[in-house]
Amino acid sequence: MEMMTETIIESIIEGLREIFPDAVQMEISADTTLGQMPEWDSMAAVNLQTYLLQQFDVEVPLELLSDETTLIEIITFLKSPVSSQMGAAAH
Amino acid sequence: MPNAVIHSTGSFLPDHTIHNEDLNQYPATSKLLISQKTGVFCRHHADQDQCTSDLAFQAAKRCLGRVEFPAEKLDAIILSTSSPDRIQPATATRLQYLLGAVKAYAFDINSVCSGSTYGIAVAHAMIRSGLCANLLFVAAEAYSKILNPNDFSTFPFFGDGAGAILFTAEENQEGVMNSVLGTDGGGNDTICVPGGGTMLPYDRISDAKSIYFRMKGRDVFSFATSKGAEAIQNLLTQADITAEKVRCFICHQANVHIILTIAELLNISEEKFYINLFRYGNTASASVLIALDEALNNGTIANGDLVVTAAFGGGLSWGANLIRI
Repeated sequence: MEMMTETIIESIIEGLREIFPDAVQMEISADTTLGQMPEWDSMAAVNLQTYLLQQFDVEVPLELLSDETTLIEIITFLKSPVSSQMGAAAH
Repeated sequence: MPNAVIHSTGSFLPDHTIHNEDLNQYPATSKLLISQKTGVFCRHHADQDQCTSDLAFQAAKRCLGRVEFPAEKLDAIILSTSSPDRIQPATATRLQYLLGAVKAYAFDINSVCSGSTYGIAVAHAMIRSGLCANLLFVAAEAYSKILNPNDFSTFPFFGDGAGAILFTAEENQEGVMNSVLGTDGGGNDTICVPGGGTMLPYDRISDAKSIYFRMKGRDVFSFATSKGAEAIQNLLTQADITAEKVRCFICHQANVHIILTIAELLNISEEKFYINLFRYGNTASASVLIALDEALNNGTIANGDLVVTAAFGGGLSWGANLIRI
């Protein structure tokens, strides 16, 4: 279970570095909020949503991808029963 | 001293249309955001084998054909593009060849989305100085070729297209009356294609996405609304003309909210602002010329009307022109 969380967080960090090239030097951890990403806005939220859909086959609601959302909250959603009805990649 | 007068216009949008609902690379729930955020519902994309000069050629052909003006009589061709065929030579040179404008010299300008207003100002200055009498100004863009299809912050909002104006030197008509141009080079990272130039040559590119267009959306919005409004205000003040006397304001078609905010800042009725980005998206420097051609053809503006064109974009750059049609 712990390994799975590690794998997911690595994948999300990889996605964030792709979406935000200016974050190349930034330390990103499970507690990082999306609002800490440089140039975070509603368009970037869709880019992250698209990335998560492509990686995990789960459409994370945009409401969950807000300034204050931490990466661990995204992981919690990806591993939740709600998301398991959408896709199985994170489970 | 002769003035640069609009003798004809033309425009071209590639056949291939893409509606928001066709953008299946994005989650279904996000597609509604495209029209909500910018007003764009549809855009045209060039075919795989169509490049910027092909779009320019079609717009130019329509422009010259409308008044049966022979390309051989052109003295000069200016092409505005920020999505050129190649880094060199100038995309305008292929346009000159395709048109058979054997007498014309041809060159590019790149002021990104402001290119329309810069091109009109340069055309005006060249004709006023006596350097040429028959000048074809074309703005053509094929942004679909330089955008990352997975980047929601850019790809859905842009489209391809071209517009053209044939300027002729006339002694007794006003034509282009005044222009205001501005640049803030401190913002040159705000809108850019980072890789592929001399700052980041291909052999030093580590992130393949560096070759794609990118922009910092929030910065662009505040810049575009403030400088767009300021340019129009300065233009009218310099010409000692009130907004009431202007029949139509044709702004760069980047985002409906930018245009409406400019109208609000200037306290000018939004009905005076021409908007067609719903159908075409942001066609960069081509947008003003496409809108001008459309407005002339659908009767929104006619001979004798005063028109203001305004644009803002990469550089950062901005400009506005006052034109008697």
